[in-house]
Amino acid sequence: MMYQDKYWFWLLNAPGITRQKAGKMLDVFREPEYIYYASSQELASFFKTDQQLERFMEWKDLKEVNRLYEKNQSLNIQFCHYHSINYPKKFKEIPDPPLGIYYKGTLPDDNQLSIAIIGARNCTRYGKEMAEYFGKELGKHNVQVVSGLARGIDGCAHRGALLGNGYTIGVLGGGIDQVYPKENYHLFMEMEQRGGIISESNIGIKPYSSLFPERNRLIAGLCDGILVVEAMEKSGTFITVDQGLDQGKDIFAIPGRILDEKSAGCNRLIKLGAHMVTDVSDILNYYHLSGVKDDNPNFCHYKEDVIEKMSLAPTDKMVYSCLQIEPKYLDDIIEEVNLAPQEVCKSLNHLVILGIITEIACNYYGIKIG
Amino acid sequence: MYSKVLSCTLHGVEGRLITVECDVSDGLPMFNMVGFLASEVRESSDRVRTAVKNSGYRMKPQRVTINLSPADIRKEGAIFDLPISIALLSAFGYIPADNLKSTLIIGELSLNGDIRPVKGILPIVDFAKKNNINTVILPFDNRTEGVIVPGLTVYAAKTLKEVVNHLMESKLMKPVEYIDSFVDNMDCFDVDFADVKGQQIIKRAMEIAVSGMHNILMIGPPGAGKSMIAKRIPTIMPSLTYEESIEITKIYSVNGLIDSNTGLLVKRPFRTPHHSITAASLIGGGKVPKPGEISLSHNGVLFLDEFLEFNKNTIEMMRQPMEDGEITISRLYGNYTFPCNFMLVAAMNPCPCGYFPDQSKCHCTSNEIHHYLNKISYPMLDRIDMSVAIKKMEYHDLYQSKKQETSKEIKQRVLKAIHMQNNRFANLPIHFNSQIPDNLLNRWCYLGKKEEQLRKDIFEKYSMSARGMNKLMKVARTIADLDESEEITTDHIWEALSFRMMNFHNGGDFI
Repeated sequence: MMYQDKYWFWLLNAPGITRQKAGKMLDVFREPEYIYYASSQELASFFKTDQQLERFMEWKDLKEVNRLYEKNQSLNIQFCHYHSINYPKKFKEIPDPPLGIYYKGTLPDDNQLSIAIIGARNCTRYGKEMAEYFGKELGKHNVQVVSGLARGIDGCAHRGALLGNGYTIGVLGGGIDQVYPKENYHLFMEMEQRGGIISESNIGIKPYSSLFPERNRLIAGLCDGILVVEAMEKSGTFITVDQGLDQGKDIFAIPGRILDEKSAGCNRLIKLGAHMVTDVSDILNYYHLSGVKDDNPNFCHYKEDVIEKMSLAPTDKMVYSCLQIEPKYLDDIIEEVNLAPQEVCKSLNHLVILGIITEIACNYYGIKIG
Repeated sequence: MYSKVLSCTLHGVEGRLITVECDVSDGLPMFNMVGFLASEVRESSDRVRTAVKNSGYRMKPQRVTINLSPADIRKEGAIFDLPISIALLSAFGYIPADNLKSTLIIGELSLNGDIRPVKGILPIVDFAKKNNINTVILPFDNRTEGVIVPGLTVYAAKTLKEVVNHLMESKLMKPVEYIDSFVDNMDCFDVDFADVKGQQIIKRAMEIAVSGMHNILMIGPPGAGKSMIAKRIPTIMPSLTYEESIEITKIYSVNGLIDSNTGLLVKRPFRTPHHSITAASLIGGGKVPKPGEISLSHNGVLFLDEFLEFNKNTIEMMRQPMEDGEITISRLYGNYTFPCNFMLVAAMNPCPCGYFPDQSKCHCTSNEIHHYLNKISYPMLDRIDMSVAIKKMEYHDLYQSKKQETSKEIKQRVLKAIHMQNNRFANLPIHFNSQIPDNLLNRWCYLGKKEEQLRKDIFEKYSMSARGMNKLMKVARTIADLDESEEITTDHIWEALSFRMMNFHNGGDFI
């Protein structure tokens, strides 16, 4: 840790110091080091009560800071501040930048294109499949995928990016050590290894809902464009979109059926002028990315293409053709293809192993995109 | 004068011989009863004296001592009223002692001398038969249950007087005739799998489950017909053998679930305890332990509807008895063992509202589903081999004219598979594929090269645990048996895969 870094760490972890307050102090003192050596009279104007000032002055006893810092180190958590060399450049361009960030894994490359893939937590299978597909395709084209490591679209986007061997970074609402939601535990572990996890809060801060709008501003800040996969008319996703618009980012949206309430938000964005995306090349071409291959699937006859490409056996073909993206029950499939149950089970499981369909819930099957 | 009468008490579902001794001697008029008696047995002195008086027999005022031996077994119930009164009358000289030899007497008395029915007749007569006691006198209302065991002379008495007269002048009553109702009533079920329209996959799953005695979990929305299907499982199970039937009837007899019309139980039990059930009534218990639901479903089906609503601790109590096929309950007065070999059929909803993954109906968030699934008892899931989804029937399914397969037809195939297993496991302590121990799996579930490759693919694709894989192999073994094939082929494994036990952990492959 550099000489100055310690003072930054000290300041940002001090009790009663919000980002705004630290900003005001730095406006006066310029460097955290000077704040550390400032007298209580000099600092008094920043605190409302004497107690607050007293607590802040006690914080100058470095014992506790050192302990906190060591704990961070033991958890492989790194810290960088506004003046660090590796501080993401994109943050400096936003109106309300974080003064310090905690991260695991690596930080995104400033020179690479980054796209945030966001959407509702409570999403449909269509949304999940699309998030994963776009995550994977962007990952394959060396585009960095940013999202919030939440349930639903976020998790799928990260997972997709990892599948496509791309770099992906998750921005957390709570402290850097908080795994929330729990079911994404394995994803967290993998992101640490192959991507990055970043948070403005140090260890131990619980993921309160009030922290999430702040987090959304960082998601928007880290990317060049925001892709909204699926969102209802009213959704937290629009906080990110609004922040993104304030920061001058490009907004992309995947359209849905107009009857579909879960896609109403996306459709409204398109109506308001967001770029409509039906294919990953829509994004790549927008940024004039070179080396974009034009072998992307045409979603209109996606199933036919898969059947042709995989050269499926006749029964597999029949079973595959009657499946959709929304789950279908085993008995209904048997009835539709009119084959013996054993035959149908066999080809369904075969298709699962081939990776072109998934068993969504017990005995319910749906096709897989990408 | 001294006299002795044979009687019997119950210990679990087995009988124990009790000798009722009576001595009448000179002294102050007293009526003493000894021999580790529960209060209801002690009270019987009043019933006996009054019943004897009201039946017209006079007792001289003398010192009466009654002993129920052996003294280290606690005696409970009103079963000893009749033997005590007979011993008393014999001691007073009304009945010759020779007439009481090799006769087992049981029954409760009413004050006017009528004999009232008691519980647990079958284990008692079975005990008599096994111990070469060839005559049994029991209450008239228990006669159907009393003649289940052949080779015994059973007298059914309505009043005390009848019994005394019979024993005095010997053989005034006629023995109850033995009617072999066993074969006649067998397989007469009032339900049939043909009543279930469509639902092919469930029927197939049940066929496999019954063939290998695999415990199975049904997942489906409310109103899909989970209970309807479960109720029909006994109709495709192999018919009860006489020994099995006796085992079940004994348990029901001890619980007092056999009325005067039913004799031997000829149908496999089907029990559906409500999810508010306590541990004691599920596995058995009480001050004097009574068999619980798991024992009442011995040789049959235990159906746990709304599996997740059961108390987790209650459900987990079943683990050890399920493994051993019997449950031992320890109480102050001894250990009681009840058999409990049953097939577990559990049913649950996939999410709080029940309609997941039907997006048009289910509005549960994934959080809610996780929370809901977390109620599952994981150790219990380890003992369930198969899971199958069930869907609410559509109109065209319900009112289709297509002929449905009857239980009889399904049963034929099940019997074939069971026959295969009987041959395979001859002279071994296991009987069904579900009981194959994991370390012996390779011996009976041998795989060829192609199958081995498939197993590897499945293991990787479904990220299966070793335990999950073993279950899959056992189910594949059963499917091969249904196919009458000694080798497990890829087709069998493919089908077994559709019925594999879901991995619910953290939503697992469920969400």
